[in-house]
Amino acid sequence: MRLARLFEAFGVDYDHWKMLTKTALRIDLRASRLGAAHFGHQEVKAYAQLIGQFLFYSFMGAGIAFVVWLTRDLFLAGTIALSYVMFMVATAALLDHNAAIASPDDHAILGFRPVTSRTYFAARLANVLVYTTAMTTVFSYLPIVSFFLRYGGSVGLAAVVAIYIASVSTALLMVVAYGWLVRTVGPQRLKRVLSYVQFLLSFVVYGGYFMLSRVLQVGVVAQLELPKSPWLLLFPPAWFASYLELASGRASALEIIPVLASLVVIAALATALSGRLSLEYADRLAALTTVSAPAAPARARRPGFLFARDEARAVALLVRSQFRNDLKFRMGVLTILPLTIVYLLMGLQDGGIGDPFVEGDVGQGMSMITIAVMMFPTMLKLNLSRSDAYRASWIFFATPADRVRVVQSSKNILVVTFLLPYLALVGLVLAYFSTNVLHVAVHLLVITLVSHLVLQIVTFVEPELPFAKPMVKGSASTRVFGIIVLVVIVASVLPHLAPLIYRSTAVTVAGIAGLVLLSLLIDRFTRLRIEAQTAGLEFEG
Amino acid sequence: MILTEHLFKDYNGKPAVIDLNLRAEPGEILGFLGPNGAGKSTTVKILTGLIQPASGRALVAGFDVVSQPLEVKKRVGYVPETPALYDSLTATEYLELVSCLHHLDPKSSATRRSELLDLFGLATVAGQRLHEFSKGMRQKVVLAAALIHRPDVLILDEPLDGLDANTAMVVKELLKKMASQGKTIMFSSHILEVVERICTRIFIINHGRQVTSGTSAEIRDAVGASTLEEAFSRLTGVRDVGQVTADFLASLERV
Repeated sequence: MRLARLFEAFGVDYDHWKMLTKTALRIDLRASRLGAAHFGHQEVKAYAQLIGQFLFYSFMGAGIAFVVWLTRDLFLAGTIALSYVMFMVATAALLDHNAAIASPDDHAILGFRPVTSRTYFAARLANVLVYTTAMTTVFSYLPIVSFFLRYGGSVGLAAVVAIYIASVSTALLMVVAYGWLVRTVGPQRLKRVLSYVQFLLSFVVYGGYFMLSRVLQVGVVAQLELPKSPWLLLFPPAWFASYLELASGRASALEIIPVLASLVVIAALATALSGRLSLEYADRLAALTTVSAPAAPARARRPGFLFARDEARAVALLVRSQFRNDLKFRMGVLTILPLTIVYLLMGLQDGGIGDPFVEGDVGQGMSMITIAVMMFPTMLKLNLSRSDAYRASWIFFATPADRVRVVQSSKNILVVTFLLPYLALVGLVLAYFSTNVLHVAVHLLVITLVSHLVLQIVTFVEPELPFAKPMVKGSASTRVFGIIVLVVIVASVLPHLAPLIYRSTAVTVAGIAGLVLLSLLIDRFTRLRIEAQTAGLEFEG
Repeated sequence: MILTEHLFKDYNGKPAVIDLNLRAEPGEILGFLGPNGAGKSTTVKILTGLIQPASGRALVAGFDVVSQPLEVKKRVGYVPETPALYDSLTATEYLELVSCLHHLDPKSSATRRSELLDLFGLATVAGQRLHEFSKGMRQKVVLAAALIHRPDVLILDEPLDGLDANTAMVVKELLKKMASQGKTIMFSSHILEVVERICTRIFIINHGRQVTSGTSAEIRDAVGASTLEEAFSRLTGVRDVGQVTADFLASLERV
């Protein structure tokens, strides 16, 4: 009852909140096929996926735990661990939970029920916090153990407090940002503005990650100390890292001020959440559901020659239209761009792009560009398969559409609409830093083939119809983190193999021919795989 | 022609359709009736190739739905019970998407799209996105999509749902004319008056099994009912409607 009174003090109906939160989680669980026993073997698959996520986050946490163990400076160790926690939570909020706050999806169901705006908002907030806290727990348990073992009990406890407060604060900040947009921007413009904000926030989050990775080179970390300066007040993870410093017995202004800064921010977030933001939230979402699109008819697009008819034309129509009008798909794609552009910038900053034809001249920069070029198509493909409109995919099952062609057209439209323009940009970057145009042209051709090959491999592994699977909360961020790890490993090696391929014209031609052949083979295998799958495929909607 | 022989389908061991033997000839409008959960939608989904039967055989337009699904899909126009659409597309774009998936010639399909949009009174809103459409307008788009490839067989699950009276009349007339041209039409609906008026034969299913089939008059005579509604209610085991509602109202008063 005390809890109910506490909720009441904030204008939230406890019983409603509890039921809404429980229902939202139940729906999410069922969407990921965990909660429904009648799905049979798919339940096992869902558990396997959950275990996979657990192992993946544990693995990432183990890396941070190792860094914590290695670092001599407690403040640096704390800052690194908390930066990662905040990066992970912010990314999850960006990729998986933006719609939890800004989407009017369930307003049609709840809008006419006697639920107050604050209760409605609190339920959505709780939903985000459940996920981000669970993720934080799995990611942080090993670093926390490391803090306990390396620095003792009081610092360990401070690490627990700091990590959870940092996680909740980051989630709240993202929620406030999206909630503020819903409140401030008119419903007519909200979709467009959300896309831009998603783009900018992605730059902030991934840019922060980029800064961090500059610092985080294991060999260097062991020797480093993070000097405390007033500038660190601009870096929020350092505020929370100061909790650890306080617990270790240091209590100068340089520790106390950052801690106070964190408390002020938390108080400001709480005030924002309990103020007009939540009070007007339901009304704003209601406005969003009733807003009508511009009266002007949609532009008729001329089909490109590659997508002039049949399945190719159908898929091109769908993908382009979804990108223009489906907020979640557009936000998904727009989130990829900053991540890969950050890698391009990292490549430029490292300077050493070098001439790929010259052994020993290939720098770290080329690895970064290779990461970007491999990551972009992979993440595009991930975004293409899942959608809230998955039920509409019945049309692919009820018509004589050739599923092989549908899947391959989906890949082709990604290549033409997104990948080739992106590679043109990469080509410009390479050309700017190179003196040999021919070398750039050949290397760009190889990069294009490799990038296409990556997309083909991803398509082969998961040959899915476009927008034909339901969204599952938490899966996007896990996949993105997984791709980052995998691609970074592969792309760090590849550029160093380039001089071997470029050592003579004959070897280069053979290498390019090999890539084309591999591409054709994968295409063939993908076709066979889809044909084999089609026999037993049923519409899931 | 639509034909099923000993058709059986279960969902994780729970039977949905049991030993179903159904036949609809060209020129016929077969009313496919049954209470909620009787197995109608499962049967329709098997016939349209959305799901596969566990056993038995189903032929549509002379082709087996399991071994020749593409041949079946080329010849079937389908209106699902709850037709989900891509809301981001306009009505024209959606019909173009369906035309492309049916491999229609782009030029002739453009003409057909215009004709169908005119027929259903959608020409003026053809450039608007489907998320702006009302339930009835969406239903018209689905009907247009089902007709765009001139199918030999029409399988319609509640096709009049949400339509205004004028469009419903057009659709009913259209179905009669298409049947007279030799098309096979399977019409599933809960509105028994409409079924009685337009269907040449009726097939009733309950708990996944066939209950009866015949013309409306034959079914009424067989159970001694004066209306199809009364016959349906008796055949599908519903208690006296007056008694059911009286019991319910009484229970509400008690709570």
